[in-house]
Amino acid sequence: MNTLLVDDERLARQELRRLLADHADITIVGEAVNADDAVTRLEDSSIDLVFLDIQMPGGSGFDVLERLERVPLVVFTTAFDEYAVRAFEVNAFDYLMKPVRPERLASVLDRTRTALSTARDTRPERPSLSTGRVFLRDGERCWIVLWSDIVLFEVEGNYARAYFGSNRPLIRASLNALEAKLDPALFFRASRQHIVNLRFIESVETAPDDTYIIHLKNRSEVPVSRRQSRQLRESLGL
Amino acid sequence: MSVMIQMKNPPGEPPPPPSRQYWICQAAGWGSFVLYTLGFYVVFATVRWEVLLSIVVIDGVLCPALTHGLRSWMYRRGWVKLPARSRLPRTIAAACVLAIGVSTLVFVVALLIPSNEGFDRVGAFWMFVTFLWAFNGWLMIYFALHARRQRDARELELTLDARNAQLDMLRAQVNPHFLFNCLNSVRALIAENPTRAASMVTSLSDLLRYSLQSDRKHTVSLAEELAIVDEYVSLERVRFEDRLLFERTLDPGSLEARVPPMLVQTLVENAVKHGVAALSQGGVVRVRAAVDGRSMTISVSNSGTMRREYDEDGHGLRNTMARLRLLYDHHASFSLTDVSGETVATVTLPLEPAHEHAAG
Repeated sequence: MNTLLVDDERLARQELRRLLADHADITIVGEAVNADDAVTRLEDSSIDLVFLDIQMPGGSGFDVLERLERVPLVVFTTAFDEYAVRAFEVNAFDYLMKPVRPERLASVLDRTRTALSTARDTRPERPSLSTGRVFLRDGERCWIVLWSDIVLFEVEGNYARAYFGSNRPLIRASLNALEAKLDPALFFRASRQHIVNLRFIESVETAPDDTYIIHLKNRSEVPVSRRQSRQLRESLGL
Repeated sequence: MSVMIQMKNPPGEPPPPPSRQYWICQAAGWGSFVLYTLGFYVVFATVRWEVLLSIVVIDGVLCPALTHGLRSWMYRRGWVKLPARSRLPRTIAAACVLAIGVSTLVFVVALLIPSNEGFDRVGAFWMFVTFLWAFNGWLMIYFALHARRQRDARELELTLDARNAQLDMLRAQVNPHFLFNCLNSVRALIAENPTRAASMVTSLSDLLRYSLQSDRKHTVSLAEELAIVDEYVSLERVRFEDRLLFERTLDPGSLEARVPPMLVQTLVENAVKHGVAALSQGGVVRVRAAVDGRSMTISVSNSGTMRREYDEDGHGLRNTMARLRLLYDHHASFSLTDVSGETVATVTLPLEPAHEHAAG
């Protein structure tokens, strides 16, 4: 696993390096010492795993992830951060408390290996955004989700609201920008207001004015615009 | 399942020494009762000196003595602690018993005085009613004043409790984030540089001990405080290496001056957090102490301007301000300002020892 270490303290990075030396499959490909540095290095898509400190100069670990379009597997490291730890525990992120217990590191790495191999098996490498993960934040809560697990994007001002599970955090990107990045084989622009995930379509209903209404598995209904209805008809072969 | 709790008499206690107010009320109350009875007698009956004397003795000496005894009795039986509703029947009964006793005594005394008119049945009844009113009136006044005193005492106690609790809560503590990062550095150094790891453990122990004991003393000398600041800075140097520069400029007289423990330490910790930890290139932390007449000014500055997004860290500074207010009232001041690219925290303290009023 290509691994990046992010921590502003040299000794902390060195300690992590020493602990990771016991795990032969971990290849440390670099270190970053602050938020900007981390963002630059993480734009390299060959990185599988990042150990990310939360409190750093120039922005927190969360800020780093928010600036990434494609998030690798993340293990947060923190000395003591009550708020962050609460966020982890709610959303089952992997995190390590410093000083790090070797057994805890080993179990975190086991989970990481599983996650990585599942990701490789089910989704062969494609340079599309849809295969990657995204970091989303809504107030105190945050998630790392696969783009392909997001059911629906809805316009909200200049941004978009992402629906998955019972959560609906805001993404700091316009719907047009998202549409340009998302895999058209997986996502469909239903109207100016919505982008739907084709995997989550339950049924399609024909409306009287020759347009469609998409029923999603999360029980929301998305009307399709006249123009997009034509395209939907073509792509679904209706 | 519900449990019935029976109201029993609260445990009794010996009566406390009466207040001045109690004696004044006793004298004024029974004094006016004596005057009232004498006046009544002089207006409506033939004056005899034996009767005048008996009125003075019974109303002016016996009644105060009886009510003083009643007070003691009510304490011993725990009546003073009862809620008014369960106390009232008891006190009315006591007033009845006393009124019957005293009326009987007066009735007998009146018979014993030779060629006195004495009481007829109606007169005796009205005498009983008068005493009943007198004793009940006494009780009413007693408990009204008693309740007020208790309320005042409780308020005072609450204020003191609140102050002490506040001071406890505000006890400056070593920031846990710093502590665990330190321990992490120690762990790394054990392999890389065991000697340094060992000295780090000692510094950390000194700092923790000082912080844990900081609530025992209200003030320490600035020299003691700065010794701990040095330990702290040496620990942060291990973490931040050359990113942290530390300077101090001290007036010769300032080292003996008294400061609340952890005051300078908290400010330096805050300065390191914002001026060094938050900046990639690191920064300088400066401590200055200047004595000016009867006050001392301590300032701690760090590189970088204040950053609002670190709001949760304002906690340490709010704590500092609250501690200063509790210890020195309005005689100390605290400010946090941006001066030409630096953030400066300034505390001005009186040179005389902190007021001990906060200790309660």
